[in-house]
Amino acid sequence: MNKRAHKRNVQTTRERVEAGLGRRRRKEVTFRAMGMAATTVGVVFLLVFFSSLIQQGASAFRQTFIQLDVVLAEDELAPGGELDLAYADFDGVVRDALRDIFPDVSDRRDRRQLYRLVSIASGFEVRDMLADDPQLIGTTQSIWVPASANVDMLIKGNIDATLDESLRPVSDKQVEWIRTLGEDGRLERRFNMALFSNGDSREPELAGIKGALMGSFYMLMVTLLLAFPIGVAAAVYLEEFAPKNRWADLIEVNINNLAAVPSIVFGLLGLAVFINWMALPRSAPLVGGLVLSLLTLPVIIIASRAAIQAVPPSIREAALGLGASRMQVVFHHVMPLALPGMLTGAIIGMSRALGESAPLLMIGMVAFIVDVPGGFTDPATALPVQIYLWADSPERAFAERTSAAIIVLLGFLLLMNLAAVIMRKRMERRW
Amino acid sequence: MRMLQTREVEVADEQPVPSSEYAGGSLEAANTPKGDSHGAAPRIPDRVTEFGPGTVGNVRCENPFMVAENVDVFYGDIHAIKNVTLEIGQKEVIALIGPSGCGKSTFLRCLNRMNDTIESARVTGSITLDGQDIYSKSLDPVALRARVGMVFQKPNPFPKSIYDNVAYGPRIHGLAADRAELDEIVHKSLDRAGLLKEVKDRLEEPGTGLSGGQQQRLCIARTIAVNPEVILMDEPCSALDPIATARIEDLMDELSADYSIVIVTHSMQQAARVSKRVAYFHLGQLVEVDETDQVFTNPRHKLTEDYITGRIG
Ligand SMILES: Nc1ncnc2c1ncn2[C@@H]1O[C@H](COP(=O)(O)OP(=O)(O)O)[C@@H](O)[C@H]1O
Ligand SMILES: [Mg+2]
Repeated sequence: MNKRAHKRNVQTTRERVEAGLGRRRRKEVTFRAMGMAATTVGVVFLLVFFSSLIQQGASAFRQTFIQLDVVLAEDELAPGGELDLAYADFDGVVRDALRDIFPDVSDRRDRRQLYRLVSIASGFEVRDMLADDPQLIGTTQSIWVPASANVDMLIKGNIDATLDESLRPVSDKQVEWIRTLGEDGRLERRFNMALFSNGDSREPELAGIKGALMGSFYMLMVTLLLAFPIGVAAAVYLEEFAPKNRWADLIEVNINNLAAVPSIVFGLLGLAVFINWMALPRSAPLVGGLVLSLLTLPVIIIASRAAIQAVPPSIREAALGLGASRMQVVFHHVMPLALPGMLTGAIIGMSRALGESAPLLMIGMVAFIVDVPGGFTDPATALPVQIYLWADSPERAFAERTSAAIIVLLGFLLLMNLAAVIMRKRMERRW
Repeated sequence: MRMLQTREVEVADEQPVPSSEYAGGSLEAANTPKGDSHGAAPRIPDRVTEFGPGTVGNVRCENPFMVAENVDVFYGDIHAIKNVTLEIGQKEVIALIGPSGCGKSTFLRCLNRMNDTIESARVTGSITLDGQDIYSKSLDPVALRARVGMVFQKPNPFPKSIYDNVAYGPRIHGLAADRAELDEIVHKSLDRAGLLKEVKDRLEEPGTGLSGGQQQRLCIARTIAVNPEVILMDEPCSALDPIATARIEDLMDELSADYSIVIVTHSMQQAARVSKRVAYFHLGQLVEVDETDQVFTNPRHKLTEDYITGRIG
């Protein structure tokens, strides 16, 4: 024992350091390898997620169209000599055009199958064309109408034509007709405008995200207009003016807790307060925005307080020492320096709000709404809710649209977070 | 203690004063020229060795401008300043010295009510500026701070342009009627702070881009742009290199023609060079106040002597 202690003592510092060096280095290498493995796992998950999403959703941005030669006969569309856009039989014109291409189809059941090749909204295309130019009546026009969702799926290879007829939603005859149309050059895949210009629909080929996008937009407007000023004002007051006592601590703890409350609870609160008590309309972006404001408020307050705290106290002292009032210190110095951080917080809060669906379910924003909302009180849904609704639909065509809507949502989130990063970078450059 | 030594070594770079192993030696060397020039015969002071209440020397001065009477400062339960009475003369430079944590900054910050911004701080006693009680209810600290400017330990320019830094005070107090007048104030202040030559072509560049010494002079320019009556400086050179320090000391000399200056410093040499009077603080008490020469050549309190000879750090 004694001998060993003695031996220790005669060891020089250098010897001891060198003895431990190998172990230290091994630890470092192991740690670095673990860190790299963790990062790789994360990146792989992300890549798998994105690639599967794009694989499933990319096709939804294109849609199959069928070319028809519609005969806009006057006696059929405007029997009284006058064209009535509301009552004229545009669908009949479309059906006639289809029959013209396949004159051999005579059986009633077969004809009905034939008509189902094109979207049921094809008549509207004819109507819109005539509404734009009533002079076209009496002529024959070649137009492209959207194919029905099943045809679209078949063309995209999402329906397997080699399966038994009873196992797929398109019949052998339809498959044959589609082949003929393709050979005649009457099939074309075009950009799926409907996805961005339409509201929701029962027909996948007509369903779009514009209604949901506008709903989300109105909600975020409400949220931004409410949560940002209130959040910033609260943060400035708490940081710069409020006495630092037990009450301040209590408020701080509560705000931090609020940020961690499950979002659906905010939905319940919104239901109770805004709809039941204040009698605001159900399914309205206004109420959604109010609920999301409550949700984002703590995030904005916390980020804004952090941004204010990051302003060096020496700046405050300098201004105070020159005789600036506390208001002047806040508005001339603290706010300009903290603003990028506050905006970063706001954007992060908003992107969280954009992705929320649970609280919106509570206030009735989950309804099937075809019309694109035109204001803050129109019934609306939001993008994530739309995704939820479509994901719930059985049609194969809705699956790809679900993925497409997710891609759009992620695109917006990416943009917002990018803006936040840029904002933060700019803040770092300040001092 | 360690800090004191480093500072002396730094100063030794500037001046042909031989640095010595222990602080006491170098201090004597630094003070010798002063003592010689005055040629005063060392008088026998009444020595005080006990640390107790009361201040040795003379807290009064001929032409008092700011007067602190029986000032006590508490931070919550901490009694940071204990019954300090001190007069600050018109256009005089007075140095506050003492070991770290003895309350120099605290006392300084009483003089422009910067302690108001610390919630736990409580000040009792009376402080008057030109006969007016600065802690009276009727006096707005904003107005007081326009009259009693402050320069901080770490240069703290605003992250704005050099011009805006200097113009900020005049702007918030409405001292300039128009842009031309503001320009003039800015130029004059920069000139007085000895910075104009270096920055006159880049007034729109950020003040934070200047060197440390330039930043501190910018802060001084910013302070004098408001044209205060008293300037408080809390270790204004402790973050600067010897050359920048020498420039600031020269500047203080010039400024003392127009302003009363209260400077906190850890450097005996600096106190000896720039100040007319020295006040030595110890554990929140004002131990000794007197003419600078007197304190450095013949400290009357044992603690003062220990401090300036480097036995207390
Ligand atoms: N904001 C504060 N809160 C509590 N105590 C403080 C505060 N500022 C200073 N003190 C205490 O007051 C005493 C004097 O501090 P200070 O005036 O900064 O000393 P000096 O400037 O002489 O180094 C120290 O004991 C310090 O701990
Ligand atoms: Mg200090």
